[in-house]
This record gives sequence, C-alpha cells and structure tokens, in this order.
Amino acid sequence: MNASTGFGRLLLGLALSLVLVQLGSAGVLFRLFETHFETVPEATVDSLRGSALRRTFTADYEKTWDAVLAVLTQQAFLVRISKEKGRITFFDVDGLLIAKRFDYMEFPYALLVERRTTDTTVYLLPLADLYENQISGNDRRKVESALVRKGEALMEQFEVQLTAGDRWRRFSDAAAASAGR
Amino acid sequence: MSLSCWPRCSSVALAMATIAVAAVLGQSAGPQGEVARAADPCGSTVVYAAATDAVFDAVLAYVKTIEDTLEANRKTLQIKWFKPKTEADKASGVIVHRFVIRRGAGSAVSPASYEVVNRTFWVRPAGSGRSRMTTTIRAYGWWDAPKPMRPGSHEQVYNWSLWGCEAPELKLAAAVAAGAGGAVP
Repeated sequence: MNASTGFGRLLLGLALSLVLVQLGSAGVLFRLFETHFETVPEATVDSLRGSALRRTFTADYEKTWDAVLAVLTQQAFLVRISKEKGRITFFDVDGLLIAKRFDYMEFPYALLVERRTTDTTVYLLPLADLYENQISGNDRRKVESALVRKGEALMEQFEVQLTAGDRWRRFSDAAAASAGR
Repeated sequence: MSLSCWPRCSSVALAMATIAVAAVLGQSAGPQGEVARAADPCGSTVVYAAATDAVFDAVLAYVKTIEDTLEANRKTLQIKWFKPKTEADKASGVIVHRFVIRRGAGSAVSPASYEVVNRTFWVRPAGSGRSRMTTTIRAYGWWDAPKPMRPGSHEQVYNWSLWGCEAPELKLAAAVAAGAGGAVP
C-alpha cells in the first residue's frame, strides 16, 4: 500500500466517522423517558407566574383547561397532571427538518392554568434547566430560544382550540352531530 | 452548528472514539439514533352510554390488561423488558398510560431499540348520562447505535401505535358494555 492510498483511506475513514456521528442524532433527554420522568422537578407556582410565556383567555377555567388538554393530549407526553391545582408537566417531542434531514428534540414544560375574575390565564414555563450538563454555551442558548418559540406556538394552538368552535360554528355543529353529541 | 448537532458536535473527537471502541467491542454506543415518531394515528373519539366515572374506571382496569398482553407476547415482539407507568387525574378524566420498551436486535426491520409509547385516554361528560372518550397516541423510538434507518423502520414504531390503539378500543368498548353501557354507534 503506497502512502497516497493510505492517506486516502484515512480521509475516507474520517469522512465515514463524521457521517456516522451526523446520523446519530438523538433526543438529549432520552434518559428521562427511561425513568418515566421521575426526576423531572415540579416547578413552583411562583416560577410559573414569573414566566414571560403567558396568555389570558376570555373564557372560564373549564373551557380553557379543556382547550389546553385537547392540544396537549395530541401533541405531548403528559408527565404529571392535576386539574385541581391547574398544573400540567409535559414533554413535546417534535421533529425538525434540518438540512433535508428530520431530527428530533424534546421540549419540556410546566404549565399553570389560573382562574381570574372573568377570564383565565395560562402560564407556560420552559424547563430549560433539564438541559444543564447536557449542552452548554451557544447550543444552550439555541435550546432556550427553541423552547420559547415552541411555547409561543403552543399558546397559539390553545387559543385556536378555544375559539375555533365559535368561529366556525357550522363545522363544530357537524362534528358534534357525527360524534352523537 | 445546527440544532441537530447538540448531542455530539461539541465533542466530535470523543464521539468518534466512542464509535471506534463500540465497533471493536461489538456493542452499541448508547441510544442515539432516533428514528421515528408516530403522532396520533388513530385519535379516535367514542361516545359511551355510561357515566364518566364508570368509563374512567373501566379504562384504568383495562390498562392493566395491556401490560398483561405485552408480557404474554414478549417473545413474539422481541421484548427484552418493558417499563409501564400509569398517571391518572380523575378530575380531568385523563389517564396516561406509558411504557418504555427495550427490544433486541434481529428482526428483519429492527436493530436493538428503545420505543416509548404514550397513550392518553380522556373521558368527559357528553350529556344525557353519556361519556365521550378520546384516545391519542404519541410514540417515539430510537436505535441503540447511530446507523442509517433500515427499510421499514418507521413502520415499526407506527405499528406500535396502531397496536396500542385499535385492539384496546374494541376490548374497552366490550368492557364498558358489559358493565354500564355500550358504545353509541
């Protein structure tokens, strides 16, 4: 084997290794799935109320809670849930198309639904601390930013879920009829 | 660095070394190669002629039989172990049944894998003593070692979702019908 062939094979090996590393994309928090999220901490009410991700809906507690549940049961892994406390801890696992390749990420949140005098407020707290010791620096900031964007999207979905029935009455009436309501 | 890069790009050299060691030892490098997720393939809603409490209790009882079915089919489904977990909130009418499945390598479409199947039952009043139950599924899985997806890999996780969705629906309808009322056509 001459030197150039050897160097070529070395380069090929290096390139293959990089491809394998690239293909090995995974959820960072997969170990939490294995332990059924038992180590996910309970967010305090104060930290939830301090979250910038919040929205007040002109609807009562029952309707708001049901709208939140309708969205989350379809999208998330519910970790803990208590209607009495208005609290839900959940993970969204979503796919992202990056460079023509599908990748996955976990989006962990704590949520609080709180009654107000005439309306209801939903607070959403990204549990970015779970990524501590997993990633750092610039990547950590990207995670936090992605968590906020995903949280905003969820709030939009809660609102659509809450208002769509009234906004497009003819569709919800037809759906209710077909479901035997 | 893209979002997809977090688990590994910060230490490419270390990852390469891990792969090399894993190759030498003939073992996996840890759960890294996530492959598929099936969201709500059935998402069914059924209305039962029974009170919400009765349906809720029937579902809770039924969840145990899902675990028994998994146990009984452990060999066929190539299950090494599985960890089930149930969360319930009666005030909401929500039952979450989740299991993490560890499967061995060897099937035509699957290397060794972890699969997480999360089923949510949401039971709520539908008026006139009826109850409406919505079932949703979120499944998520990954292979042990970083490697390209094999043909059929997506179907593997998708099948879990269907398996966890359709058969229990029918059996649950029968269980509720025997106890307090049947499914409303």
